[in-house]
Amino acid sequence: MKSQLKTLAKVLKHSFSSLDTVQYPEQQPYLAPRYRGRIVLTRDPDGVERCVACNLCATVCPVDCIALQKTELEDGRWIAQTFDINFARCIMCGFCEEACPTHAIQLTPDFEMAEYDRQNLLYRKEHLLIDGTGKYHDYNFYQISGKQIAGKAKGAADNELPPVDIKSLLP
Amino acid sequence: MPEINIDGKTYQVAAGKNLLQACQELKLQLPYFCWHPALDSVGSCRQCAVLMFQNDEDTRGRITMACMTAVADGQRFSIEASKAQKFRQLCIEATMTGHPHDCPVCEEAGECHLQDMTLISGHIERRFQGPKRTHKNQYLGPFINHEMNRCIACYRCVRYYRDYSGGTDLNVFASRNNVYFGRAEAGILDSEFSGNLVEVCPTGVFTDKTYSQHYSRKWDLQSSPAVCVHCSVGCNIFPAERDGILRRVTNRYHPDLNGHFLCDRGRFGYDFVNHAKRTEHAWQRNNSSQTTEQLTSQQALDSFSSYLGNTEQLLAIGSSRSSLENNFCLQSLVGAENFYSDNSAQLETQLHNLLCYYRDIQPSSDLKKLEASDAVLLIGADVTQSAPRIALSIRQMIKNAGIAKAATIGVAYWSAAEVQNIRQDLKSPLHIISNHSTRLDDVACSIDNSHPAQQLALINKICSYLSEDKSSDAEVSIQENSIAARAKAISQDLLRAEKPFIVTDIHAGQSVELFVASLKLSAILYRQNKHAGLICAVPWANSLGLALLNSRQQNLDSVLQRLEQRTVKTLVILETDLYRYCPTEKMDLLLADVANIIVLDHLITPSAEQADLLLPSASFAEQHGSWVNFEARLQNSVKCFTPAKQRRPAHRWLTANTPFHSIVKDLSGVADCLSDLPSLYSIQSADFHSARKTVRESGRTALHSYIDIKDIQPEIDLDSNYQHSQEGVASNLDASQSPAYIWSPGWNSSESLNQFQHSVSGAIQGAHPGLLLFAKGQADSTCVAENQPADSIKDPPADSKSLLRALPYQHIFADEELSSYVANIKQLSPTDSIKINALQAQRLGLVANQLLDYCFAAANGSLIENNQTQRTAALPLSIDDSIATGVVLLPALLLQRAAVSGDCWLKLAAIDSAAEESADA
Ligand code: SF4
Ligand code: SF4
Ligand code: SF4
Ligand code: SF4
Ligand code: FES
Repeated sequence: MKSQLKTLAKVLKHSFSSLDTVQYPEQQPYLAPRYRGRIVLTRDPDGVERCVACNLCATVCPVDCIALQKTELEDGRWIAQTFDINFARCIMCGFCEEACPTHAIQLTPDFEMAEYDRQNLLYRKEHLLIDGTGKYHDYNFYQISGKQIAGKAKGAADNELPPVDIKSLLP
Repeated sequence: MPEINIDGKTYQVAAGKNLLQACQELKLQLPYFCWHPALDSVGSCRQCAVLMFQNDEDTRGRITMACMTAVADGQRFSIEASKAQKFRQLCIEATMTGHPHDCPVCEEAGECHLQDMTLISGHIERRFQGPKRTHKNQYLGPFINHEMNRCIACYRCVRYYRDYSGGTDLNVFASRNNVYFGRAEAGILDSEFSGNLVEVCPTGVFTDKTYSQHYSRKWDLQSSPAVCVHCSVGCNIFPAERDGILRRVTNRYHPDLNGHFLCDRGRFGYDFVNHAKRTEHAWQRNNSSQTTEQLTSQQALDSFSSYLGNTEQLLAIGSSRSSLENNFCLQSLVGAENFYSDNSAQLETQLHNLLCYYRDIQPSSDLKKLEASDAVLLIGADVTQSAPRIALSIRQMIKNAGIAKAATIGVAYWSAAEVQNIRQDLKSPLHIISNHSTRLDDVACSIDNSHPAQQLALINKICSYLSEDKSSDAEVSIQENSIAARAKAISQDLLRAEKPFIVTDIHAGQSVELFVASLKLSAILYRQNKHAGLICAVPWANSLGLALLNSRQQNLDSVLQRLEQRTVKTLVILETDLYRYCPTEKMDLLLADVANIIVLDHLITPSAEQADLLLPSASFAEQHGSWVNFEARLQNSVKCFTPAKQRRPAHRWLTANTPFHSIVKDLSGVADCLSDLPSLYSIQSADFHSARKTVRESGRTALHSYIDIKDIQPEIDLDSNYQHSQEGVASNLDASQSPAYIWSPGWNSSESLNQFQHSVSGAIQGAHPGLLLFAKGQADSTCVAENQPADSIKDPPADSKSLLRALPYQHIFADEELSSYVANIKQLSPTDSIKINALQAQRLGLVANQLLDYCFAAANGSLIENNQTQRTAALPLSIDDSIATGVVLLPALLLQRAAVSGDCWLKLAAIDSAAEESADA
């Protein structure tokens, strides 16, 4: 009997505490920048697509909802010809972002992705690609990689020596 | 068997090997770079370091390279000792200091031996912050990509390219850690085996350019154990597909055939499967409305059976590039009396000769035995062009004299650098008798490019020397350099050898007398020496299989005859192109008179364009099938992926829906030698499956979402124990059937092969070596070839002395039908020309590069006049002094197309450009 009264009192007390429920969607909650919501593909500081179609995000994805096809630009730069994410499957785990060696794929604090038609949950490259660098502003993969691309000759990446002169006999 | 102790455990290991080989057989994880199972040890990368103890008291031990240490009884080693581990770790750390940050954009990533070894060695963090050395890349042709920054200087590439495959245009330049592996100048790699660099190089320096054009990571590929269809060797391959595109072909180790290496036609000739001209739908020509209609599969089947309702004047042509099952189904459907092969009468006879020869006289030999041989006589063709892998094996045989010499002073065969030093220029004898210079000339000890008549005399002379009693050697003085002297030298080499080999081949347009004589020679040799071997290449991937089925020997010559007599109303063509066997204009005329032409093919060939009903069949990668290679080895090839749209295996069009297993069962009843065929196809079992896809395959729930976001159920393969999914046994040692791909935890590259073998040169676990149909020849039964005196080579038809004997020249990238659809291959195929020697040209008043007209002469000497064909076929002249006087060489395909039966004679004439112009006007 005593414990029942105690329980009642406790419940009653809650009627006077402040509300946890927010009036969504009029009232939006604060989500930290590293919140894991809708996925975007970003660009490097030069404004070029960051994704090099390395396929690591697709491989690490536990529900296998990323599929892409590599192609090459004329200068040898790898990019994604197609890049599909099936958000009907995505569990927003963020593994892809962690695996990405170029900081191309990033999760954003946007979670409002409901659709009436399930087919619309397929986001293709044009839906994923944004204009900015996202959370990581400075990283530029091709400045570090040894692969030659337009505007960056062999030996011109960060921390590289000029190409070896194979005709030199100097020790 | 020596007993050695590694990290406190005692193991029995095979004698004569090195410690690295022993560790691999014991499945102990020891990293390595410079060692390769086919290239052996040089001890240069220092990655396989272990601690070796002097005796039981020794506690310190000393670092030694496992790949350079011969195993001996009582030795004690440690792989795990921290000193050894530290050494390996530092070693790879030093190697990696200059390595670029390239993995994400490197084709090798995911199957990179360097990645694997870095992990195994425990180097997981980069400490070196200094600048990296860089290199410029080179253009190496349409097949191979070059990215020199990634090199770790293991020297495998040059050791393979120069020492193993005999190439000369790839080399190492510069010094110390600047060494550069490439060509003196950028340019197309010269070797027919350059593609193996992709697998030999443990890093991403040499990668497959064609694969990169439709790239997919290794873990996303769906593969199967299949057989190459581009020549008669039947090398074992892994075709690999993703999303309906065949992405690449890699080597599948077969100890007795291809070993670790493929030729470039096999490796890069796969793109015909993805070709824009591939057939996808059934089409029917509607002659009344002059239209072509697309049919549903059921309509196509109905239409097909209504065409076949009337078996009167029915003729069906099988295919040397289609599987045994497909040919068999066609044969059963139309009846053997209506079934013809796509071989000329001459070829058909030779193929049957060869089958009889294998059955009655001498069993066939494989390439492993050829590599172990110590003297080879090569008669006839340039095998580098017709059955390339055989040439690579001949190159290995050359080294045996050196290996034997090294063994006499106690140097093991696997110590590559030492053996090479001891060998110097010592070569096991290779004698070549051919119509022109070949790609093996650089290692031959004698070359005979004389006129076929002289070649025949030489072979006959060798035969007589061989069959003579060896004791009666006292021969009266032989003139130096006479045929007799050369014959004597060759026969001495053959008699002296423990395992002499005759290598020859059957090809269209050859001098049959020479081929018959070489069989005779081989028989005589085999009667004296049971270790003697015969290697005989045949035209195409299933030439012998088709010959086996076609016991009536009905051939293309009779097809052409019947077409000419207009006695064909319904013509069924299975996966072959008649336009390769007959001049275009003539074929057009012949086909115009056939009421119903039904073509089953996976490419829209010129023949398929003439079809009234076109049934889209599947390529080798999209179906199960059995193939018979040059040695009459029956191998099965497993389907890699499901054909798209209406494509389906030809046998499914031909039999409607007979299950594959019952086709195989019926086929096994056709001939005694085929009775074991069903054993190639493991019994269906519900609880055992191999996965065609890897455990890490990505994108399963997104790949096809653009079509429909709902997941698509994987295809089910009812015909085999392989699944089109990740389900089932991944690759492992105890599998009872061949794995569908080579991968094992920690070993992502093709080097993981060692995890599938019980011994270093042993077969892949579970892989079926194929059935040798005629494994036991009986030497004493009467020999057709031997009793038949080889005819002498005929002189030109009497009345015309200006006629030249026309013989074919072959080319690896020009002759084969399927690969010739591939753009990259076509790029490397030479422009056709007519070849004669300088003297001949001078006599005829011709100069190099001049455009020539030519016409063929029939056996009676009359010229086959056909102005139309002449005009289109004018070819430039090229001078080749290795050709004998009286002989003219034509591109093999052109000669085959001329469809002249029997010996072929040619009259050359310069095109009179003035006359030409007036004719045009
Ligand atoms: S991991 Fe990054 S760079 Fe690689 S494919 Fe995914 S998004 Fe592109
Ligand atoms: S060679 Fe291997 S380690 Fe080097 S970049 Fe390529 S994948 Fe990475
Ligand atoms: S190119 Fe490849 S095979 Fe050649 S030395 Fe460098 S890493 Fe080794
Ligand atoms: S040798 Fe013949 S079977 Fe082997 S890979 Fe080359 S074309 Fe294919
Ligand atoms: S593998 Fe032994 S030193 Fe290279």
